[in-house]
Parts: sequence; structure tokens; C-alpha cells
Amino acid sequence: MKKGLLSKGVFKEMFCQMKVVGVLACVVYALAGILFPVGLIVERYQYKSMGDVIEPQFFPTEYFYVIYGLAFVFVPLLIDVAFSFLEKRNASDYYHALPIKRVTLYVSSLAAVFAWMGVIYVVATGFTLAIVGIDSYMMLDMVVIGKLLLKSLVACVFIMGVCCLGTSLTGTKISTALVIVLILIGPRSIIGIIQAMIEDQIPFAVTGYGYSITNHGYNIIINVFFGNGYVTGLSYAAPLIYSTIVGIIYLSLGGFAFIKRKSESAGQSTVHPAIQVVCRIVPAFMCALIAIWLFIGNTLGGENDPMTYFGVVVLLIISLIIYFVYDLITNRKFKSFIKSVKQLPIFLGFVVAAAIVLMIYVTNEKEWRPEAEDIDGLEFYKVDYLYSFLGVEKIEVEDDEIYKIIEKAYSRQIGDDGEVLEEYYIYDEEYDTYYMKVNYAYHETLLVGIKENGFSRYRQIHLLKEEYEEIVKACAKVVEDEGDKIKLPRYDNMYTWIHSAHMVLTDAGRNRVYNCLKSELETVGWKDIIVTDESWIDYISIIIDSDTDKDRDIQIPVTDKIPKTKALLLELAYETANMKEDFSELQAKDYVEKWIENYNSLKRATQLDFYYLATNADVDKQAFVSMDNRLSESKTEEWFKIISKVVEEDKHSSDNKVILYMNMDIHDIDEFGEYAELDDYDEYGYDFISVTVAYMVSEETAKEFIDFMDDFKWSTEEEEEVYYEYIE
Amino acid sequence: MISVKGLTKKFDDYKALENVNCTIPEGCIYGMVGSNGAGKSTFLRLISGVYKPDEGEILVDDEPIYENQAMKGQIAFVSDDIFFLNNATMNRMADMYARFYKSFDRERFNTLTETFKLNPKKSINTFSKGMKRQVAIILALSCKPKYLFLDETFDGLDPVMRGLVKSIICSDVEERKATAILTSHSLRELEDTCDQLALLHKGGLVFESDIENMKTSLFKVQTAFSEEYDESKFEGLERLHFSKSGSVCNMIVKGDRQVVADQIKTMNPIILDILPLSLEEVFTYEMAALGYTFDVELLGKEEQ
Repeated sequence: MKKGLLSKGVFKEMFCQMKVVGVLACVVYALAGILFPVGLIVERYQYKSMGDVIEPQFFPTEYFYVIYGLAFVFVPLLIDVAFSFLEKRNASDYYHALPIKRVTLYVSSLAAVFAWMGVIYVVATGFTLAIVGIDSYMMLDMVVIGKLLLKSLVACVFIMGVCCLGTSLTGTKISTALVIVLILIGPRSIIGIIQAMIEDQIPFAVTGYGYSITNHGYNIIINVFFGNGYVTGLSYAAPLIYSTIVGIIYLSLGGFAFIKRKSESAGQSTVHPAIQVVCRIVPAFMCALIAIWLFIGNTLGGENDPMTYFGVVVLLIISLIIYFVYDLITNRKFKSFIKSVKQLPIFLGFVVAAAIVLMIYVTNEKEWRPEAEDIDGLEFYKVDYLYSFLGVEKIEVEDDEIYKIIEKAYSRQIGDDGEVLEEYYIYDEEYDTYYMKVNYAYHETLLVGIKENGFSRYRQIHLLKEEYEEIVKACAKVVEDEGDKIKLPRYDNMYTWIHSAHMVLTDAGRNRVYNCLKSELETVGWKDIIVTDESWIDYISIIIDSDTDKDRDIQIPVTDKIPKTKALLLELAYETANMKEDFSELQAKDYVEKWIENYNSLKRATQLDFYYLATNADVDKQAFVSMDNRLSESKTEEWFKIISKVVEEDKHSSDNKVILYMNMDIHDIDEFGEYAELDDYDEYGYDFISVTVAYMVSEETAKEFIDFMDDFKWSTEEEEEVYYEYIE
Repeated sequence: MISVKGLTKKFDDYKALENVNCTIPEGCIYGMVGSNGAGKSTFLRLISGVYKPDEGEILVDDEPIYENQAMKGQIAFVSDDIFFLNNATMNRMADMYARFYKSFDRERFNTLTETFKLNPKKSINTFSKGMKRQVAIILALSCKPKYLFLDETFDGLDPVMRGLVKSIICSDVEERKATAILTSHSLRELEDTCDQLALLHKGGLVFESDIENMKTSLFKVQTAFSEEYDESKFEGLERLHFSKSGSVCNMIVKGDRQVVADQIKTMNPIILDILPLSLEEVFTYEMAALGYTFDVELLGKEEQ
């Protein structure tokens, strides 16, 4: 940093002045940092005392969202303390008389704010990390935590910039607060209203997509309120970089305004009359934009509804009221009110200009239809498995045949007059969307960027099945050229969700499976994974949220193509299946033994539906079996012999190689055919037990089991369909 | 030395100062007097570097003062509207000053605090108006500045404290060759402290002079003659005022006392008295000569 920009004395003084706010924040976060993990420990102790099996879990990273409170509450307070002297004449004169350059005062004050932020961060995370660190049941994913903290830090920088700029441009508390809100939400609100209008007026248009600046996901503050990249998923880094840059720009503009402002502007609503004009116009303009939206819709849409026009007038009047009220709130002087009346033509001029520009834009866009010969390129987004598996969000295609498909598809949607062709579409009022009438079940929808003359328009294009397949082929060709391996991002417990279709996994287990799968996928071509005739024992679903990476939903069948993952999955399934049930001292296997015992003593088989999976290198079998009314007496005897053998063999499992993995629902039926309470199974009186068990047996026993089960699995697909309809 | 040339300052449409020119030499105590709204506070804020002039220049030791960190380190400015940190004590304010002013002398601060019998650990909010002004003056003096600017210097101070402040300022100026600028709306307050006095009126500097020179170069002459005479008899004298009642006339004359006396003696007067003028009278007549009406408030008569 340039010598003279930072003064130790000023820094120390400002740091000292902020201590009330800083210490308060530290106390709040210290309490949160202690209470949260201690609460989890207490909860865990409670579960443990009730017999639950406690496994190590990742510390819930939702806690670290609490640190966002730093950006929204304490950073504005710190800035207010640092620069409150700008609101009072005597204080402003005092500080400007001191032997410090204004830029030094500004930079050193900001440094003090950053220093307090650092202290608060340390307190907020230190206590938590210390407690979690010594607790053997809680795991930390430091990379995820680091990413969350970085995100909150960027949010702090952004808010700091907004507050500094707002404070430097104004001279009273009220006007500072109003200007800060305007800076924070004004630009995005105006963009958002225009976007909403465009999407409302131009059928199938999509705005703010991808890496367009109009994507609100970039703004880290808007992101917090509206979800991560709510229009489309952005990478983790994109909002951070954008928000940091904007924050720094605001800080710099704030510094410039701070240096240039006159000391005598303290106590005035703004430092310059032009700022007052802008502040007056912006909120009024936002309201006027909605009026313009209504007007355009009513006029271009051909409705010419008088009530809508009335609504337009009302909104314009409201915008005028907002225009004048701003001055009354911030200035409270009649003289200022007169000035605002004289400057009203500026505002009206903006409104008229905006109305004209938007009207022309909407008219042109509505009438636009792509023509193959004019198209320079196409962008397809999230094309099915290419996106899910390979994470390729955007695929650029340059293919004349594909251009023709798009031209044809779009001409089915939009007529020459820019209106949706009714003959092809049903308009669903409830969801405000269009559905193709033709071949309803077969159409696909893609978001397409259509490039013409260096400018891209984004539209939702509805495609027939054959059209879609052509496009996927063209996209696959483009993707293939870039490589055929699936590269999964780093696992983090918060934003990566991994689930086995049939097996129960712990947190630690999920982590291991994912990492194993990740490394194996980097050696296997994606086509081998998704298109396979191999028998699969399971499939793994992975959902990667857009906060750490673009959100994807991947289904990966577990076959011999990924042998390490397969073996690991079985090993973990076996471990998990033998854990104790919730709220019970019994292991899952104890239930099975009790069920067998019940049969041996009562000679009555309680009902059983279960799913089993038997697997090792040579035996791969899975089926859903319902034995409700199918067991004859002799078969029942045989069934219990086999299951008893399985249970016994598992107890001496040193040479056994096959895992029989079963999800069992055990229940009884009374004379009315209803579920009845099972005696002695559970002290809580449940009449329905659902357990997951895994037994290690020999190949011979596994085959015997499977052969027996073959008699009970559904013989036809219709039976299976009937079953699923039933359970739904 | 402080040099001000063509200084103009506006606030929106209002001209607070217009084309002010003055030179304040080193080591002097410069008094500035003027009615409310004359521009005294604005002038001080300009030469302290708080405000930026709209026109003209201000040089302190031949350097522009605005945004001049080094020069500002040699200036201590006590405003008419004093600022302290919220709930701060004197010690807390001293800490703040020490961080901003390298020359801040903690010992001097302690000594002055004792002299003024103030409690440095008590919140300044609990002090009276006069005590707050004392605190501000103590803090400023503890910085050992080369230039000391005090706006409404004695506002709220009782006569004893006024005397104390005056003596401390004088000794500072004498010992360290500091320069002090004191403003007040009352001439009486500045009369026995300042070396030079200036009068600001409606944004302009209308009169500026050395006090000694003012007092000695302007005097009242009371004289009478046996023959008839009128004002033309005294053509050779620089007269600011002439009045005649019977055979006795009173004149306010500017010039060397002895020379004037000798000149009148040659006219064979029957009475000749040369009387000194009070500062108020000097100002009144000087202003009248310039075409201004000297405000009664400036005479400090309200305080009497």
C-alpha cells in the first residue's frame, strides 16, 4: 500500500471507536459458536442414552450461514461508527481539521473495519472449531467451511462498499439509509423488472441466463435471498469474483466521494444536488417501469383493457408520489420541494424515453423469428445426460442442419405476428406456461441461445422427439471432442448429495463411496457408464448443488465397470446393516431372529415383504419379493429353513463370500386383513417393522436362497406395475 | 506567517466571505471581531483547512493549507461548536489527540487539567458549557501548535477563566513564537490580548490594524479659540470627525500626537486637550470614515 494511505494512529483510534459494536458482535458470535456445537453434543447424548447408534457426522455447515449476519448487521454498524462524523457539522469540521489526509482517514477507517471483521470471524469460528475439534463424533470439512467463510467475507466487502458509498454521498442518517438501500437493490430491481417484462411479453424468451450480467445469481446479496443462481446455476467462483469487483468499485467510489465532499455538506441530505436528483428519480422510476410494463402489455397485446390503462395511471401517480416523498423525508424543506417540482421534467423524460425504448424492443423481439441462413451459432444448455454426467452446461453447435431444426421448431411456436400459435399449444393458466398439443408425451424442451450478428437471444424451444435426438447427437459430437471422462468435483457434505438406491450409507460411508467413484470415473469412458448391458447391483444418485458447482443430477449404475466402488458399496452396506436400530437396543438382525423364533413357536408366519440383493463376483441377483399370500404350508417350512440357515451361516462368516442384503418389512395381518400389532417385537408397539440386514453366506447358500426366491418374484411386468400402483 | 489573498467562500447562493486579503505575521496574537454572520468562523475554518476556498488562496508558511497534512499538524483549531466523542472523558480525548498530533504533550495536558481544576476521568458530557470550552482549549494547547485558532474564544468562560486562558495564550505565543488567531463578537474580550485586530463585516475584511498603532495614531482633540472659526481652520489635519459647540470643538484626528499638538499650538488656542480614545471609539470612528455603522454589540455593551 502506498505510504501515507494507512496511518497507524488513525487505525488505532478508529479501531478503538468501534469497540462497542465489535465487542458486541464477538459476544453474540461467541455464544452462537459455543451453543450450537454444545447443543448438538447434548442432542447426541440424548440419542445415545436411548440406545441409538452414534456415528461420526459432518458438522452441519448451516451454522456458518449465521456468519452472513456479520455482513447484514455488524458491518453496517461498524461503518456507521467509522463515518458517523459525516452527519454532524461540528464532528465533520473536527475531523477535517485533523492533520490527516482524507484518503488516509478513509483507508485507515476501512482497515479498522476489516480488523474487527477479522476478530469477529476468529471468534465466530474459533469456538466452534475448537469444540468440534475435540469432539470425536463430529467431522469438519474444512474446504466447505473455507468456501462458506469466503462467501460471507465477499458479502461483507460488498455491503461495506455499498455502505461506504451511501455514507459518502449523504449527510444525514435517513438519507444514508435510503441511499444504501437504493444502491443495494436499485440496479438489480430495475434489471429484474425489465427482465420480467420481457419474459412476460415475449413468449418463450428467457433472460438472465448463463454468464450474462443480468443473471441475479452474480450478486451475492441477492443470491442469499433468492437462492443460489436462481435463474441458472453459476459456478462457485463467478458470484464471488463479480461481487468482490463490484464491492471494490463501490469502495473506490465511496472513497472518491469521501475525499471530494465538502465538510459543510454534513447535515444535508446529499453532498451534491445532482445526487439528490438521482435518488429521487430511481425509486420513482422503478414504479414507473411497472406502469410501462402494463401499458406495453395492454397495447401490444391488443387487449386495450380500460381497467389496465387505469392501473397504469394509478402506478404513474404512485411513482410521482414516491418522487416527491423522497425529498420530503430527506430534506423536509419547502424550498427543496419547489426544486423537485422544477426538476420533474427530467423524471418524466426518463419515463417517456424508457417507455419508447422498451416498446420498440418488445415489438421487434416479438416479431423476430430465427432463420437458418441468419444463424451464426447455437448454444444448448443442460442437454440431458451430457450435462448430468459430464457437467457440460453449455454446448455450442455450428451445424446448418441443426439451424434448420431450430428454425422449424420455433416457427411452430410463434407466428408471423409474434404471437404464440394457438393451434400447437395449450396455455396452462395455473403455471403460466405453454404445452405442445402435438405428441404431448414426446416433446422435449431446451433452452437455446440463438446467435445472430454477434448477439444471442435465449428462447425455450419445444422439440419433437426426433428433433431432440438430432440435437443431442450433434451436441454429443461436440462434447466427445473434448474428452469422454466424467470429472466429479470435490466431495463436500453440504452440497454433494450421494444416495444409494438400495443400501443405507452413513456420512462417512458416503464420503468414501463418492471419492472411490470419483477416481474410478476418471478412468472409465462415460458412454461405458451410462449405456451398459452389464447387470448392476445398485445405482448411485449424486446431486451436486450449484453452490459449489453447477447443479447436476447423475445416476450411475454400479457394475463391474467400476469394481472398486462396487466392492466398497457392499462392504459398507454390510457394516451399516449390522448397526443398531434407532431407539432400540436390538440390532436389525435381532428382529429377523425374533421373527424366526415367532414362527418356530407359533407356527405362524407373519407377513413379509422384502427386497434382497445377493452379490459377489459370480452371483448378482436382486428382486423384490412379496410373500403375503403366497406361502403354502410346506413352502413356509422350507422358507424358514433357508432363512435360518442364512442367519446361522452369517454368524460364522469367515469363508463366506456372498452378501445377501435385504430390506425387510415385517408385519402381521389380523382376521380382517389389516395390519396387526406384532407381539414382542418392539416395546413401542409398532405393528410394522422395517429393517435392513445383510448376511454373509456361501455361494451355495446364496444360490439356494435365490432359487427359492425366484418362485416369489413377479413373473411379469404387469404384476410389478400393479404393485407399484398399489404402494403409491 | 499566514497569507490570505482574494479569499471567497460561498454556501449555495450565500457568500460568506468575499475577496478577503490579509497577512498574519508570525508570533502575533491576531484578533478578529465581527457581528454574527460576519464570516469569522468561516475564515478560521478556511485557514485550518476544513473548508476549501471557492476563490483565492491561503498560504501558511508559504504552503497551501487544504489537504496539507504536514501543515495541519502545526495547527490546532478550536471551533465555536466543539466536538467530543460520545461519552468520552478528557483522558480519552487526549488519547485521540495523541494519535493524531505527534507533538501532543501528555505532561502539559495533565498540568493544564490540574490548573483548570477539571476531572480528566469524568465524562465530558457532564461538564458545563464553559468547562467544555476549557477542555477544548487544554487539548489544543497540549498539542503545542505553531498556530492556534480559537473561535469564540471566551464564550461561556467566567472572568477568572478568561484571564487564565488569556495569560496561557500569551505565554505560549511568547515562549514558542506561536501565532494565535482569536475571534469574538466582543471587542472588549480581545482588546487586552491581541496585537492586531481585524474587523469582518458581511463577509469582507473592512479594517485591520496593529492595536498599539490604532490607539496611538488616533486621538481626540478638544480645543477652543477666541475668534470665530470653522472646520476649515484645521485643513492640514487628518480628521475623522469634527463637532463644534460654541467656541469649543472636538475632533478625532489621525496622526502623530506631538506633531498635531504643535500644529494646533501655532494657531494660539485658548484650550487644547489631547485625549486618548478607547478601542471602541477607535473602531467606531474608523468604521464611520469607511462608511460603515459600527454595531453596538461589538462594543461589548450587552455584557456590561
